[in-house]
Amino acid sequence: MPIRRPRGPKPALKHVEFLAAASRQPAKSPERAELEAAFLTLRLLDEWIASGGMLADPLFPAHAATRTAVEALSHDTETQLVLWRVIDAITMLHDPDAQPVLPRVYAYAGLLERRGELRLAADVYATVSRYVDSRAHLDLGFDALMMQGLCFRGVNELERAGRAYENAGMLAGRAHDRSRILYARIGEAKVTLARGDHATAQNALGKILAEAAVLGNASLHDIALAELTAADGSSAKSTR
Amino acid sequence: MIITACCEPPKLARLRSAVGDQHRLHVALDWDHAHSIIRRQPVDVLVVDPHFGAADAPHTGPIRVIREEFRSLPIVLYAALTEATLAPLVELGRDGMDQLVLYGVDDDPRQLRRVLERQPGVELAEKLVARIQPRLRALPAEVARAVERVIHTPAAFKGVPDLAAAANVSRRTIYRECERAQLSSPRELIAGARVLRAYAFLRDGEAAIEDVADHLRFSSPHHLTKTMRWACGLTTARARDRIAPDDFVALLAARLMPDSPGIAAPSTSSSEA
Repeated sequence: MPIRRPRGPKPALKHVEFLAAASRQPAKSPERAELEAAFLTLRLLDEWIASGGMLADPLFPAHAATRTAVEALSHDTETQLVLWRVIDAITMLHDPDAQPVLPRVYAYAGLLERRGELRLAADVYATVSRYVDSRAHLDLGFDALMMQGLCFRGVNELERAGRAYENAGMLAGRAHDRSRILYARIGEAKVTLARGDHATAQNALGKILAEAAVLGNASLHDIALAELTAADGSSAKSTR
Repeated sequence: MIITACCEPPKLARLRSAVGDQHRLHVALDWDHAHSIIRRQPVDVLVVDPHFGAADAPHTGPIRVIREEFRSLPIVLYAALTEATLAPLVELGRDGMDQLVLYGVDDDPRQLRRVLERQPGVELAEKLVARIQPRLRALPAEVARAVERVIHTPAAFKGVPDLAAAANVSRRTIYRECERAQLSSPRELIAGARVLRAYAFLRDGEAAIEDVADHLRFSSPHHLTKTMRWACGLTTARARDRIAPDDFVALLAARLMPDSPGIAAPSTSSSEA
């Protein structure tokens, strides 16, 4: 049997969400500058991986343009710092190897998520899951997909959220990691719940709860129980 | 590699220096001319500028039209990151155009050349043409050129009549010439070119089989799988996951050159194409 591949998104320009967000900001505003700098940094990463070490040279035009854009972000040192860390890693490594850079990219996604920029955060988490070698870094690959699911759920993109959780479950399945499989299934149940299918979600969470008990994973059991209680509550509300 | 450019002069100059002497560049004077080039010449990659032919603001309409008409042709957007281009880039990017070169950022000749060279199918088409070259030499020059065109630009050929027209011969003659040169039938040559492009799209991107089948105008994913089985003996998913690009080209070449001594064609019926 061939190994199931995680389902990819529909083809689109990478990081198009950053351009979309930039187009909503006034020209020459700090917000626009920040989005464009992030867009260039993420493209630098993509191009470095695709085209090779020449992109790591700070004098190479694409690299120099990215540095100039990030340098201009003095109004937001937190974003500036996290983007510098990505660029510096590329410069230091020179030859493309995404794995050591991805935790820094993940940190940027976390920053965006904390700021409530969920679509942008989902895009950056997708960058991590695109390049991560999940055989060596299952934790990063799995977490990036779960966070994508969370972000998409936050903006009510339920199909994409469901796909992210499903892919997370697939990754965990390949590694025979039972706990992570159940975490991913909780995510899928939350998507089902958000779609309004309370009965299916409750049923799924009930099964997860039972499996978590068998597994002896207390934390997972608590999460499943909390979700089931919440699902019961919302089901009761919806029937009232 | 053969590139067609629909770009304003400053971008065209950069493109020329990236292409150099190694590759061929067709310059379109306007969008109609671009359509005409793709119909008449082999084209591996199309480079489009939203400002091309636009008196004032950049526009996406002509790019969408050309993309819709020649779906399997890789298209690279070439644009500056400015106030005026943001909205068109978002629109085209969301519509599935996933290749972007930023003017003044990504267009160092070395980088631009790499972007063009790594477009799906470019390298594989060249390899396939090289492999079947001995049989192409046995064809009349115009027919051989038409077969090369179909491998480089399958998007421009909807069926055998197009191939016959490109070769400037009748449908019956092109069948006879292919048979005489011990090549597959014209219909199978077109199927082979399309499935090679499909394989390249699947290997290079993250797109699902269903999306690639739809994008390349296979009537269904099942039809793509049937053609893939004919080409290499495996289903689409298995071909993507298990066959290395060079091996795929070798299998397809064997299929397109029946009775090649020492080359085994995949073991499925050729009627499946």
